Parts: sequence; structure tokens; C-alpha cells
Amino acid sequence: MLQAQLKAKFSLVALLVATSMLAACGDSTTNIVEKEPIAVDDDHDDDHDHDHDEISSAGRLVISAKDSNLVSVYELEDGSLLDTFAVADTPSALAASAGKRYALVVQRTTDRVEFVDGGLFQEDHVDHLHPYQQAPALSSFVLSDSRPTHITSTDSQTAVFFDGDAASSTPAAVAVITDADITTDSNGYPVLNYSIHMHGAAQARGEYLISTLREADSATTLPDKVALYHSHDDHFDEEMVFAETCPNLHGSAQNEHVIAFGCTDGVLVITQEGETFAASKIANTDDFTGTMRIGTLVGADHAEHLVGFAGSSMFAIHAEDGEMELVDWQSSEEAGVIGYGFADKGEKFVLLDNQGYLTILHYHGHEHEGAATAAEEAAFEFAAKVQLTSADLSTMPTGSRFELAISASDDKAYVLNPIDSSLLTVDLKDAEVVTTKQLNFVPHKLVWLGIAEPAAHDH
Amino acid sequence: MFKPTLLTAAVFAALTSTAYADSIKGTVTDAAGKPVANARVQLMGTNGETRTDEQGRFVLANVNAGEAELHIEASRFAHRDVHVEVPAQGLANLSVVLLTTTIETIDVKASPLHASVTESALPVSVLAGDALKMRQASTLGDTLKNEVGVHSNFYGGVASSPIIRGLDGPRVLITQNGLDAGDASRVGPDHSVAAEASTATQIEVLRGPATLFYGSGAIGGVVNVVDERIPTDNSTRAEWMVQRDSVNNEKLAAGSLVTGTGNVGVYIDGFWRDNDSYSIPGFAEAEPEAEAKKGVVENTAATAKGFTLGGSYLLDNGYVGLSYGRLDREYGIPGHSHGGHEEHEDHSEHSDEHDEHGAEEDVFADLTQHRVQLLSELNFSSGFIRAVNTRFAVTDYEHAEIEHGAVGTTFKNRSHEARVELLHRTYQDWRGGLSLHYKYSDFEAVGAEAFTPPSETQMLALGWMEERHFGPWLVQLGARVERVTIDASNVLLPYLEAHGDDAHDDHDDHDDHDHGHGSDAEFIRVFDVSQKFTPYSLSAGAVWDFAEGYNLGVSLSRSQRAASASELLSFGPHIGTASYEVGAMFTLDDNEFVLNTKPIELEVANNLDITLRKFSGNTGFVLNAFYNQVDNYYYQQNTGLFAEDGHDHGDEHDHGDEHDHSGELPVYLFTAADVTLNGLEAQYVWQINAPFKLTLQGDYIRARLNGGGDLPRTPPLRFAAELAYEQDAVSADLRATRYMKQDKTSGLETATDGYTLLDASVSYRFDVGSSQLTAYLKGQNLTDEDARVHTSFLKDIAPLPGRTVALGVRGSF
Repeated sequence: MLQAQLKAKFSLVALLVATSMLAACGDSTTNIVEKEPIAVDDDHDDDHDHDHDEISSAGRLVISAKDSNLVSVYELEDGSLLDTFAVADTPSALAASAGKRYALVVQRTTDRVEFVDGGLFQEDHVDHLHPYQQAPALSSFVLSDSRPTHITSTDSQTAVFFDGDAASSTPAAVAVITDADITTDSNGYPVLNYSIHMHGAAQARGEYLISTLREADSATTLPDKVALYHSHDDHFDEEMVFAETCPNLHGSAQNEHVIAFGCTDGVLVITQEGETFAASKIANTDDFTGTMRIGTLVGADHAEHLVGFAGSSMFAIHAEDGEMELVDWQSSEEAGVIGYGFADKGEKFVLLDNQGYLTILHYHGHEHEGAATAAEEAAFEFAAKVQLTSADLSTMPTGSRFELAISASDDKAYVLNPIDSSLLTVDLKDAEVVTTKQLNFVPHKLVWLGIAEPAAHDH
Repeated sequence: MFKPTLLTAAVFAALTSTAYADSIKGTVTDAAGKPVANARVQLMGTNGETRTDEQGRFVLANVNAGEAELHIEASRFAHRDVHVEVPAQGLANLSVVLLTTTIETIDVKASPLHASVTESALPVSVLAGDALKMRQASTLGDTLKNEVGVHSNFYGGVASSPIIRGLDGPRVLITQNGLDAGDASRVGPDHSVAAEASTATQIEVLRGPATLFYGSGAIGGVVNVVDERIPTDNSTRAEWMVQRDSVNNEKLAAGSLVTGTGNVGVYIDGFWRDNDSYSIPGFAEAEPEAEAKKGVVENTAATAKGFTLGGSYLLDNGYVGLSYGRLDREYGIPGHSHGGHEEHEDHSEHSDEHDEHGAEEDVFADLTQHRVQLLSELNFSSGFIRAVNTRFAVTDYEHAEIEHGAVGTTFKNRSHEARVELLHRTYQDWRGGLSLHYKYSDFEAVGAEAFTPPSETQMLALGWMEERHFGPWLVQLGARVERVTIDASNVLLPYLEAHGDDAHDDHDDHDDHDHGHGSDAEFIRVFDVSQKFTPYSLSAGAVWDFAEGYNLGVSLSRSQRAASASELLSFGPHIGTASYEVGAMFTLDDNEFVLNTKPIELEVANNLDITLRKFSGNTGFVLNAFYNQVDNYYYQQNTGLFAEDGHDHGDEHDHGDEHDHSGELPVYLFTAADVTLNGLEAQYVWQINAPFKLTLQGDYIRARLNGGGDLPRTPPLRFAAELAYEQDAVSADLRATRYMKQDKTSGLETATDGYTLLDASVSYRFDVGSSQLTAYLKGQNLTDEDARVHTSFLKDIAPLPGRTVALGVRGSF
């Protein structure tokens, strides 16, 4: 009976196939429709403005939903939702990869980092960088190690610090990956394995890695020393431990010339000259009172200054000159800094506070190079403050806060407002909110992905 | 041949086919009357099958009265077909005599009709068992290169595809368990085939058009890699091997296990290979530069690993099984460097600030494939449908070519395929059935060397094949209709700054030429292309058993092939072939590429194959002659133009005063022309005495354009002699292969000198517990010959590996 039915079905399909194909046996038909051509420039032309028309220059945002494992990717050209992906667990943080192609979806408590491919990237075609635009995708590349916490990136590398876990005696580790590692689902990237856990920080410098050290008998999970490591295939070998200590180390950053770590007694500065590294300390200035210390550091490759935060006090740190100056960002009494970064291709610095204001500072630091006269001018100059919401801040959902993402391709910044589940686009030049987009979920974290424009003062 | 009595018998059989006779009982003996144990006895056209016992006896139950055909096979004996008239009360005393053969005869699994090296109209060969274990190499082409009629397109040891009778690429289909391998190996010789030989149980080669079973991609032949990933029984057995090779320090470990319980069969395999760049006796380059390094072909290291899990549900009348396999491979792409060596070395000296991972010269490929297969065979004891064979595969393939630590080009092929074969019960003595075949491939190449645009190819086909014995004649007929659609929504036609040699002289004279040309904005024209083909294939074959132990096979076919997406739509630099490829969708109009307005024709192969075989006694031979007239053969015609390779080196590189085309590639345009391929293949086997066996073989192919000229990379005339020894626990062989000079070349191609390769191996078998182990020593190219392969795209930069000795142990239980 079954066979008879099967047979009947198959013969019917066969008949249909046969008739549809026999109709045009031995035939070939071609249908070509010409579409809108793509304008291209000569490769040698520096101006890429009207090159590669279809590639989003505004970039994309990856936004995670609160208490949810869903992350959504939005196209900023038109605000459209491109795709939503389910990761394994609720993300604790989002960060961009070195090339800003991938979002690191950090799931701290479940010991995992997943990667969302934003789909915008460029390839080095030797004489020009060729942009690509693809659909976003959840990458098959995953990092699984204990308590991924601090993520730091340079233009080419991302260092993921896994804190390890005291409860399960899992030691800390650092993985240093490139966008190519993610793209190819490689397992050949180098990993630094510690023997104890710590709440540490690491900065990748090409084949070197500067990473923190903690004494086994230390009372705190914070490290107090920094060591230099050199990569060999899949692991790192310790080259040296810097004698200069850094008590209760927290926060790190780097720029073209230096790598810095925040300590209770100042800022530990490592300078690199070729293959030679040297450590020194910029001591806390008189502006530091009580328990104030630098606990957060921000750097950009081409910015001469690092920015340090001690609580809500902002310091401009010129590491090479050993200077640390308080920056007046016209904060209110109760304001706590919750988002920060260089913006507008390094021309500006923005600060998001918990009172719902975005502070915009002009940055002049990179003009200082070699010019003593310019030292008179402050590196950071207050430009404007943008009020992001008039909502009652006490209605902020528990466990939520405003979140900031900064475009690396233009002068926009993006802020999530969990109070009304909106996404604000802030024009930093005009210092105003230009669009407000209503989200249909309570947002949690966000990160900008796309093709970065080179820093304005790139030499 | 055709007797009226036979016809009456057939009609009678058809009329009474529902009447069961009791059984067929019989014995199988050799020519001396000694019983042959463990011979497989099949009742053809049904699902009845049994094996003989120690006394050579067998019983086939539930046999219909009337005409019956038995197929009997046993190791070291020639297969035999026996026709009997079965009376209603059954047959009790059938006596079958098998003749010994020197020709190893293994059935091909890829064909719905019964086929083996000695029995089919179309020439086939099978590499299996110990021979396969000894010949397995990290690439498929190199594994099969000693098979008659098969050459390798040797790509520096890191990739190779089999060339069947001078055809490869989109004309030779690589399948794994009968389903498309689902990789990117058909579009570039530097793309590795996603099938592994070390865990395979047999590899089958169908020489000549096999479009009937497989469709367009098989016009030149099929290579089918078979493994047991979906077990058809669950008796516990395992095989493993470890080997180390000296020429490239290759370490190989591979193993597979079949087991199960009750109705469930389980399969697992895994392999791991790792090798360094291989050694050679001389220089890698045919014309080495002053500072060239001797003794090694750089960037030919590879590492590969994979595993497969499978399970099947075993039924009384067949099985259904599912498997998952994953393959990872990373391999260097030799000769894939950009520009001169020295210039770059200079650079790396002071580039450590921005280059972290040293060895910036190296380009390598990183390949991953996921493959899910579902296979099923169901036999039915009543009704018109005798068996339903179903095969499904879903494959997700991706490989990235990584240059300077960054992904240069990514190739993706997401494909799925389904084939259902419906075999009918023997009707009027005809055996056969229908095959429904669907294949979908979403192919994408993104990056600097994405010479072909993203495309989707769909194929839907209906095939029909039948065979029947007429006395000593076996007649095989087949037909297939196909519909192939290729959709590509973004086919790019860039303005190509191609120029001839004359223009290039000019270029050298003007220092500022680099900056000047093309500074105006240009447009890339974009097309949405949908192409539909409806190729068909017809084939008729016959095998005539004209004398005891001999037969003559004749196969005549007309096959059409739809051009592949890359042959139609390519436009860009392809470093793997060191050419700038332009598809047939475009044409050249006064040194400028424009859209081709002429219709895209189907390729049509008219093939005649004649095979004469002797397969019993102490000597045996298989002689094939073929004549293949292909109309609208798509090939890459040299346009005489040069274009940039897409890796512009900018202005800071001084290329010196020399007039060379470094950073430039010759432009080849896919063009259709009529060609003729003909050739001969011969194999002679002589069992000199019990331990010694001599095999001689040779093949020759001639491939020319009817309008004059030769096709490129045509295999040279080749002879091989192998003396094998096998007695007790020891076996050994010594093999010499002579590749003659190839001077039938196409434009821009140079002649290649002949060379002789000497290989030898010794194996020793011993038992440990219930395991049978074999330790072996295998030497290849023992004379350390500097050999360049005419069929290789890398002929001038990568010779064959030098002398190598491999030591290995394999075992099974």
C-alpha cells in the first residue's frame, strides 16, 4: 500500500519534471538586465568620497536587549533593523573588534564571548582600502574562558582579559585576536595563561602584550605589577616584569607611543621604542584628594593625551611629558561618568553622565607635536553640553543606565535611553539630538561598527 | 543471439512473476572444482542476495519461477553472470564455475546499475583496500594519479584534482558517497577538494561522460569517494593508520570505526595530517633567480583535520542513515606571492611596527566544510517498485585566502542536493529505473580575487536507465533531461585597463604613466543575469561476452553540459591560474570587453568508447580507445592582453628597468570552440607465479581544437610498469612510471620534459590479538628526479617532491 502511494507520488513528480524540461530540450536562454552602474575612481585617487556608493558610511549599531539573549543590528544610513541574533546568554557588555567589523558580545558570568559580524569592513588592496558591505551575521568564532571582562583594542588587535574565578580556582587568561582570526574562525591566535585569577587588564602591541600581574597572596583581586610578553605561535612568553609597581591596578589604555595603567598612587606609563620598553610613574597631583585615584583610562592611537578618570574628575595625561592636568568639563555635583571616548575622528572627546547629559570637548592635543608654544593651550576645551532627556531619572529601570556609542566614521554619537527605550543620535558638531528612534525592546548595551575614517590628524 | 525461446521464457516469466518458486540451491567452484567460499550470489533485479559457505554452497530463497539471472562475485575471481530457467519447484543443483582473474574487480557504488572494471560498457576503475591505503595522499589528484587514464593537476602538493582523459575543472565531478563534494575545487586549481582519502573505503573513477547519473558537471567523468559514514550493517570493525613521510615531514593519523547494536549502526572517523613545505632536488623555479633558495618549495605546508559521525537505522529491507562531517584544512598557496621576493624582504626588515606575525609573504587558505548527509536504501518485496534509493546532502563550505594576516578572498559554497532513484522490478527482462535529481548551490566569492560574482545555480533533472541481457549481450540505455538555472544579480563588467605588449613598452617609457592613466572616474557596469539551460544526455552501451573470459564493451553517448557560473560570469584576476579570467558572457570588441550578444550555447560531447577485456587466467588486460568530439567546448582563450592582478603595489615599489609583467596577468576569455579529444588506455596484468605479478599500463591523450591548435595542460603519454610480490606476511612492489615529453602545447604554454619516477614499497603483516596490523615502508621518487608536471598550473615554480620515504603502520579488526 505504502509503496503504491510512494510510487504514485514519485511518478507524478517525475512526469511534471519531465514535461517541464522536455518542452525546451537542448535549449539555452539568457536574460540579462542591466542595472545602475557603480561609479569608481581611479585607484590612485585619494578621494574615496564618491567611491563605493553603496557602502554605508554611517556604519551600523549592535544593540542588546535587557535581560535577553537577543542582539539586533541596525543600519544607521536609514535606521533600519537588519537582523537580530540570539546569542547564548544575556550579554554583560558589547565591544567592537579592532577593525570595527565585529561586535564582541561578552557574556561574563557564563564565560563566553560571541561575535556578531556587522558586515562592514575593508580590505587592504595595497594601494587603497577596499570597502565591503555584507549582511550581518553571527560568527562561528567564540571565545570561551572564565569571566571575560576588560576588552581593549588597537587598530589591529583586540585583547580580551579573562579574569578567572576565585570560587572555582580558575586562573586568568588573555586572548589576543585580530579581525582575520574571527573571520576565519581561527584557533591560531595567541593566549596568555596565568596561574591565578585577577581583575586585570592587557594591552596588545603587535607581537608584544603588556599585561598585569598579581601576587598569589594578594588580598585583592586587583593586580599590582605589569609584565611584557612576546607572542610565539599560540602562546606568550614572559619577557620581563617591570620593576615599577602599580598598586591596585585598574584601567589601562594606549596610544601610538605609550601604554598606561591606573594605580592608586598615579599612572604607570610604559614607553615603547622599537623593541625596548621602559616603565615610569606619573604621580598623582595635588588635584587628587582623599581616596581619589585614576581608575579608568582612555586612549586613541593618534591622540597625544590619554584621558584618565578619578571618579568623575577628568584628567588629561601627557604621558611622554609626564604631565597630568585636571580638565574642567563643567560637571554638576551629582554627575557620574558612565560613557566616554574620543569622537569625530579624534577631534572631540565626549562624556556621558548619569544625569542624562552628553558633554562635548574639543581636543587640540594632537596639534602639539613638537611645538612647545602650543602647550599653553589646554588640550581639552569645553564645547557644549547636550541634554538628552527630560524624563524623570528616577524612572530609570533597575539595572539600566544610559549607554554611549561613538561613530568612528563621522561626528555622531549614539545614546541609548532605557527609560523610554529610545535610541538618540547626537550630532556633535551642532551639539544636538538629531533623531530619536523608538525601539520595540528595552535596550541594554550598544556598540558602533563600521568602516572607520582615519583620524583627522593622522600623519 | 536473440532466441525465440528466450522471448517466450521472458513473457512467461512476466506472466507468472507472482508465483514463488522455492529456492535456488547450488555450489560455486573454481576451474579445478575446488569450492569457492564466501562468494556473493545476487539474484539480479531483486533484492535477493546470499554468500557461499565453506563448501561453496548457497541457497537463495523466495525465487520467482521463470527466467532468472544470478551475479556471482568473489575475491580474486572474475565476476560471472548466470542465466537460469527456474521451474516452479525450484532449482536444486546449480553449479557455477568461477574463473580466476588477475584484475581486481570491485563494484562501483556510484552507479544505480551494476558496474565494475570488467563488466560495464563505460570504463571504470576502483581504488580500494590496501591499494588505496598505500596510495592515499593529502590531495585527491595525487591519490589517483597512478590510475590509468587519470592524471593529477598537481598544485604544489597542497591541492590537486584528478584530470580524467585530459579534462578537469567543471567537467569532472567530484562526489562523496555519490553526492557533489560541495567545495570550490571546480573553479580553481589552488582550491582543495573537500574529500579525504585516508578514511575512504574506496575511490571510484568513471572515465568518460557520466552525465546520465550526475548531470552537467560530469561530462568528462566522475570521481566518487566512498566511505562508510552511513553504515549499512553494524558488525564491529575498525581501521586505523599512522604514517610519517620524509619529504615534507607529513604526519598522518586516521581511523574509522563501525559498530552498533540491534537495529542501529554507528560510524565515526577522524583524521589529522600536518606537513611542512616539501623538499626538492633543485630549485623551485624553472628559471631560478640569482638568490633563489635551493631544495624546497616554499609555502607548501598544510594541516588538516576532520571527523565524521554517522548513524543508521537498519531495517529488514534496507537502511536509513544520517551523518555529519566536518573538515578543516589550512594550506599554503605556493607561488601566490605578489611581486618579487627581494623587494618584500627589504620591507619586512623595517616593518615590524605594523606587522606582527612575520612571514608576511605567505598566502594561505583556511578551509572549513560542514556536511550533513542522509542516505537510504529501501527494498520492497512486492509491487512494481523494487527499491528506492535516496541521497540528500547539505553542505556548507567556506575557504578564506589569507594574505599578510588579513582575509584577501573568501569563497563560500552553500549547497544542497537530493537524488532519488526508483528502481523497478525486472520487467520484460529489463532492469533499471528513474532518477530524480536536484542540486542547488549558492556560490560566493568576496575579496580581492573574487573573480567570479555571487551566483545561485539550480539543477533539476530526470534520468532514466535500463539494462537487459540478450544472450551474451548486455545492453545499457539511458537518457536524462536537465534544467539548469544560473542566477547572478550582480555581474560586474568593470572597465578593464588591459593592454597588449606594445602598449606596455610605451608604459615603460613614461615615468608618470602610473599616475596618469584612468584618472577620470569610470563606471562598473552591473547586470542581473539569469541563464537557463536544458541540456539532455543520451547513451547506449553494450557489453558482448564473445568468448569465455573476454568481453567487448562499446559505449556511445551524446551529452550536453551547461556552462558553469564561473565560465560564464567571471571577470577578475585569478591568482590560482595566474590569469585574468573573463567569462563567456562577455566578449572582446576592439580591446574592450563588452557584453556578449551571441547566444550562450550548450557544450555537446559526442563520445565513442570501445573497451576490450580479458579477465580470466594468469593474464588479463583492459584496452580502451575513445573518441570524444566536443562542440562548443568552453576554454580559456588567450587574448594577448594584460591586466593588473588586483594587488596593486602602489608607487613605492620600483620594479626596475626590466620589461616584465609583474603585477600583471594575461587576460583569458572563455570562448566556445569545437575540440576533439581522443586517446588510448591500456592495462595488462600477468600473474607470473604465485607471489609475483607484473602490471603494465599506459595512457595517451590528444586534445586539439578543430580549428587548429592544442588545448593546454594536456597530460603527456605515460607508461608504467609495476612488479608486485605477495607471499605470506610480506608484500612488496616496485613501480616505474615514465612521463614522456609533452610538446603539444597551446599558446603561451611551454613544452615539458619527460621524467621517470621510481616508487617502491614493502609491507609486513602481523597480528596483535584480534587486530591485523601492517607495517610498511613506502618510497616515492627514489631517484630524486627533478620533475615538472605538464598538467600543473605551477609547472614553472613547483616541481614534484624529491625522494621521500614514508613509514607507517595500519591496522584493522
